[in-house]
Amino acid sequence: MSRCPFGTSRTRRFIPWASISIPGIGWLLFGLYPSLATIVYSFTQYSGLPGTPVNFCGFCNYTNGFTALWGELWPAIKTTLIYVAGVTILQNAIGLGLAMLMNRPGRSYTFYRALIFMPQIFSVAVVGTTFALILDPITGPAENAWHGIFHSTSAFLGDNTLALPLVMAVNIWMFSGYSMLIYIAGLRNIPKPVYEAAALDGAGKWRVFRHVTWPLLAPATTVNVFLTAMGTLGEYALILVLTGGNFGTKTLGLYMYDSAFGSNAQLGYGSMLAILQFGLTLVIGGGLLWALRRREIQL
Amino acid sequence: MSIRRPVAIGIVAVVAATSAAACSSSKSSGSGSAGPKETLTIAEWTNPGAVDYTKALDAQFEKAHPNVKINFQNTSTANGAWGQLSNSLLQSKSVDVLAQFAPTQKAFPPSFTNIKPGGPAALIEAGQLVDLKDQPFMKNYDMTAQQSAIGYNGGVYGVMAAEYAGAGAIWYKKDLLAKYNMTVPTTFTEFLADCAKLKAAGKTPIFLAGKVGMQGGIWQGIENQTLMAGKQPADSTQVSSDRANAFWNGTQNWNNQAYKDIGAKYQQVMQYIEPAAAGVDQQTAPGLWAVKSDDYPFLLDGSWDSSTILKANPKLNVGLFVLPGTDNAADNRVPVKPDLTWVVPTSAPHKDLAMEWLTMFSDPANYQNWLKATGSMSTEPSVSNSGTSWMDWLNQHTSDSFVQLTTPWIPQGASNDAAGPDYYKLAPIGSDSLDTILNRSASAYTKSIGK
Repeated sequence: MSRCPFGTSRTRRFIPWASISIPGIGWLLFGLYPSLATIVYSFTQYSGLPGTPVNFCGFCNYTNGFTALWGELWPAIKTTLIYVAGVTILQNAIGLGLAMLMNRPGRSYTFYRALIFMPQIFSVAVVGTTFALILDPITGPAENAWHGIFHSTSAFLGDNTLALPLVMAVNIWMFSGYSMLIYIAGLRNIPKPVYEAAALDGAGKWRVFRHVTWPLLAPATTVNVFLTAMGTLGEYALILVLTGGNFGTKTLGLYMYDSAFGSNAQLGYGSMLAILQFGLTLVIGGGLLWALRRREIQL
Repeated sequence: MSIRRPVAIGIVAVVAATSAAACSSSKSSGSGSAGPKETLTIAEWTNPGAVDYTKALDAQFEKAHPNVKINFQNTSTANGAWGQLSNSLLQSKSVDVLAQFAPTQKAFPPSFTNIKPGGPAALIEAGQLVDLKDQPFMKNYDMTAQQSAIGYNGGVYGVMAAEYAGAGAIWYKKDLLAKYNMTVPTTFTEFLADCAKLKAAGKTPIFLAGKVGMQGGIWQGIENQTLMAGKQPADSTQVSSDRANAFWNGTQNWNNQAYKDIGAKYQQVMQYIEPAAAGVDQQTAPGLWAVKSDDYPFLLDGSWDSSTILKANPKLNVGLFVLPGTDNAADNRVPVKPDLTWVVPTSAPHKDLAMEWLTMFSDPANYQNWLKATGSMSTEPSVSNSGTSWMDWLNQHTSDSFVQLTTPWIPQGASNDAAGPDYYKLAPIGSDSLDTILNRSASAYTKSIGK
């Protein structure tokens, strides 16, 4: 029997299995089990409170959602789609713009990059509360600025037309630094000779961006767009802190949270919404990946 | 063999850790006079007055029970934090005395509705809360009120310790009203006239936290007094039940004339609110209102915020009355909302101690202090919340108060519109007209019950 630093060859065979068993058990307990439980609960009437009965009711939650409760479900889906599209497009545009500006050597640029990325490390509760105070229509600084410019008052997060764009703006402010970093990594991967060749051909800044930078940033764009869309699809915490889902800001994620864990919660109905959100994520995520990968190949 | 050594060490470590855990476990659960303490876990949501009082009572309890240590937990109701804490304590079976919002009888819809109860009502139905009906301390309380708040099938599953003037409750600045020679209005017309006079004097009559829907209090205040007009206070549970049945049977709905009239009055009051009120949060509203002593004569907010208001501006001379929703002063009575209710889960590790704590809480002398700290109306007939200057009007009007009416039964997950008008979308907070809102609610209600 040969000897090795980690035991005999017989015991060594078990080391890989032992190594993957710990994360594997973790995944089974905290990944697979809750996912399967959500599917099962979506077919029940269950409050989610300990000791209360789990009544199987077939497709009752699905039927309710798509018939009697469609009036609540459809606005949540619509708001989610607007939220995802708006944040994904604007966050990527701003992230790319910042990356172009900040992709320069020097300590000051390192400092600015860190500053722009910083909101990402704050908790959603801190960011939400801070912006709620800034946007307070009585005491917040935003009110002074608004009054100075428009000579009127605004309820900001309590305004049915402004609330959703404001929540989206806070989301973009928080995460555009992250998009910027990915785009900077993409920009640094573009070979310099390509730019030199474009310059020799007499291409101006816009042409260089359109025909060199943008096409060669395709992999970074794929990653950024996909991650932003997926992250935004499940967003509920920031909206909860800023508006509580009122004034037209209730997304599917928040509707699910409210239904599953709010006052008078019904975990069964909330689980059905989670499955629906999973389906939406699959469709949007799959569609985006397919389209973006196709674009990469074409380029 | 090199691999066996770490395994052996690991086994020893696990055994040692298990032994240590067993030791600490026996320490925490043991009882006796020689040191080992039992830990009684009590949890409630953050209401500054209630939290301060509970901490004081906990200290008193620990003094009387040297072997008991109280683990007191509290968190805000904002952003679902309280729900999360409450649920996790129940899941871990570690809480002995837990605060819950009184479910009231609305939470137990008749079986023909096929609606499953949620929240504390689900816990009661599943036998997860201890029936406190026969506990000696329950004799201190008004059992009819307790039954109505948290009774089910003859049992009483909690102690409703606080009830507040909620629907239509209005805080007012006494000095500001006196400056304009006003007294507390007794009719709806009088209230509107006062608002008009204050507005003409350059004041913004009403402040409220529209971001969390406090404007609904105006609607509910008018609705409660209108639907209870000419009825005995004790009939309120029946009125709620009759209305729920009428909605279920389709003989009543949100777009009936009664609700159009209530809505018209609501809109008359709403023309006097702070224009940016829709963006004001409840976390900041009472404090903001209190510090601005020369404006905002009225604040629409429940009596539960007394502590916050008085802490923000201790010098402010305030009072509280209920919006007179009709033009007959006799009908403008106080709707009372059953609120904080202590429950003992069947999974509580220290039920006997929990009962002792509730006994101490229910002692009339202690309960008097609880009322003073929280601004709650009394649920013990022998105790009244006297000696608090802001409660002068309320104390004169408690004798004919009634339990706030509850909304019709709706299935869980039903659209917000089904439960009544959407105050966020109704003008002037939103842009929808009263007819649009009421028709939408009526349609949503009908759909939600599958008819």
